[in-house]
Amino acid sequence: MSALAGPETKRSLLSLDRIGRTYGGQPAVRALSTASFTVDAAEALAIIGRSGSGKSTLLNVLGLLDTATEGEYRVAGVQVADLPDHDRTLLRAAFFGFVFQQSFLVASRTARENVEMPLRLRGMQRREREQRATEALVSVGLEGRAGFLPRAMSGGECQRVAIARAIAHRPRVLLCDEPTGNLDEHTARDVLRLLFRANKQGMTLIMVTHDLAIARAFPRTMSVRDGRVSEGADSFLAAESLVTDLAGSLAAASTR
Amino acid sequence: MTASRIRTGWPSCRVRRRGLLPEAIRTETSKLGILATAHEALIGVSRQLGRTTICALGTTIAVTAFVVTNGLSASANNSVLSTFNALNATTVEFQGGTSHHPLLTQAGVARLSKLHGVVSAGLIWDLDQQQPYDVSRQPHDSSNDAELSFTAASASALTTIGATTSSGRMYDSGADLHHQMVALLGYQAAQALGITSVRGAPAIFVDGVALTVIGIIDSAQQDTEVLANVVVPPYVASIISGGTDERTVIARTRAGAAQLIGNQGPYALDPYQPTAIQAAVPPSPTTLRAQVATSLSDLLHLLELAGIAVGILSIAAITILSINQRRSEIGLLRALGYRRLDIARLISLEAMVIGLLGGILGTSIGMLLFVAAADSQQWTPVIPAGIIVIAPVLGIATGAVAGTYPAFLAMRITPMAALRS
Ligand SMILES: Nc1ncnc2c1ncn2[C@@H]1O[C@H](COP(=O)(O)OP(=O)(O)OP(=O)(O)O)[C@@H](O)[C@H]1O
Ligand SMILES: [Mg+2]
Repeated sequence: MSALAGPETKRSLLSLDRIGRTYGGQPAVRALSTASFTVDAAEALAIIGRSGSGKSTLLNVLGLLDTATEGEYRVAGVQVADLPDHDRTLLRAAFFGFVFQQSFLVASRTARENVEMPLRLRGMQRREREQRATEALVSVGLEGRAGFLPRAMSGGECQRVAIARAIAHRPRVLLCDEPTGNLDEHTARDVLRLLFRANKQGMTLIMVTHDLAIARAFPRTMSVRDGRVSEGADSFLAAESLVTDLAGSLAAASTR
Repeated sequence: MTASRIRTGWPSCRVRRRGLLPEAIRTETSKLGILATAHEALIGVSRQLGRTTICALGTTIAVTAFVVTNGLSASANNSVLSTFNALNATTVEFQGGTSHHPLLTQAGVARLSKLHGVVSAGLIWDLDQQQPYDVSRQPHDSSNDAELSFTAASASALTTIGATTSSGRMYDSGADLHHQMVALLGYQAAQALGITSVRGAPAIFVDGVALTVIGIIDSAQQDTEVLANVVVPPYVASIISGGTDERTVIARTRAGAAQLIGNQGPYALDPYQPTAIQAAVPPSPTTLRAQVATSLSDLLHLLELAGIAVGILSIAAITILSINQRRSEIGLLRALGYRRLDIARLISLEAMVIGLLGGILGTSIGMLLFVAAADSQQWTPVIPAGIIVIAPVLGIATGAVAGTYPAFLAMRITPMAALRS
């Protein structure tokens, strides 16, 4: 065990060593290549990049939803590639909570039942489960919607239920893939506030976004460009300025 | 380096893999027990009532058929027993000898009657193979002739076939002894001759022989043919036809003795040539019931099997469809931490809950239909013991079989499926 977890990786919660992900197909797409970085407990990290750059691919590998095709990924020192599906699922359930752009609630279950799902997996007794679920719903301000089915709630409310579900079992890491993508500015701010509060309570927060304004609220940012990951927002900014130039020249062309 | 070595060696890989995930993490989740999963399945099924109903329809029909067929065959058995004709089951007939050399005689019948188990026995036969005779009421006047067949019957045969008169009386064994020229008319024959009563001792004429009608037979349980005939004592018969017809001895036995009398009768009737006499014994009630039951149940079991196949197919088909619709939901459950086993269990249990529902519905509908059907057949509805338990269990079993393949399909859905919708 200790032999597998090196002296450096032991300190970090998540550690990536030349991680790559190639989607098989015609043609094969190398969506992620040689990503190497570490994330410590209770960190808040934004991953920024343009559409199609490989952000979701990276996040899915981080959350054990997907498996890397190259490199070594360790979660709390555990070499993920060696785990059978069964153990990987256990590790995922124990370490990660997910919030996606769409809320992905189970349509046939009420808000409360959706929040209770990860708690059930922990074999929690009914009373404790209900208490935890209520707590989580209160923290997202939706205790009044506990008995509602997803179709009876607005998009913003669904997203907040999804956040309640992601934090109810107190995972070590909260992974968010453009959680505010479908929301208006005001609701988006509420959602972000909730996520930062979870981070303050000790949860590691990793959020994918293509919004520079959001990324700036994070103490640490990483950019993804054509599947390559780099520290800081610089590479993203460089690409972005190109777009601005292009937009400027187009505008100029049309006014002429 | 290390990783690739671990992946290639199977035995070592197993040893290493177990150690890879710290026990604390291993035990933190995956505590979804079978009861909790069943609860989830119940919720899932109850919240999709439309789909559930359609899905359960096939099983409902199958179990309905199961209950109805089992109930009906049990009731049919029962009614075969209870409506079994007691008279038929106790009647034995003997035939034998030739017209020139008759083996069946009054003396033989007398011996037969003494056998233990014989209630009554007598000689009875048709004259000239039922060839009709011209019968008239006036000696030389053919204006109101009737064509009638003749039956010869000893006095004891009249008792044996259960004949009763509406007018007049039967002849007794003295009629033969004293060569009385008498006749009985079946009530149809009496109508044909225009005779309504034997008051005034009406006479009939056949081939110049005068017979006194002493009674009109209005019913004969064992031989309704005589109701259309003229019935005469054996002596009269011998005068009319020459006594060359093949004779029959009819015997009524006690319940359950028919088989025995069938075996012993020929020895009593003619101790010298018993093998020349054939006995016709009615099938025993148990044999008859078994015959009815097997012919009924062979067909019904086939129907039941077909029904259950339909039930399995309908659950399987709709569950497979719904798995495809629910790829994203199942992927989400995987993302949240459901293992493959948990998913397979969930889908199987859902199918079983649906099967159970179909089983309960089918049992209820089946009972109603079966009682209605039994009633229309005027059978007493007999519900085989245990069917109320077996039918819903059959539903669950149907669901379990139907759920295997969908569960296998669902198990292969990856967490990534949740994100591609
Ligand atoms: N399952 C897949 N099979 C093949 N190629 C894929 C698959 N998923 C993603 N890709 C490709 O990989 C690249 C990166 O995709 P990814 O979804 O990670 O981008 P992204 O940065 O999240 O974009 P967006 O901001 O639009 O969500 C894209 O070119 C995409 O077409
Ligand atoms: Mg994406």
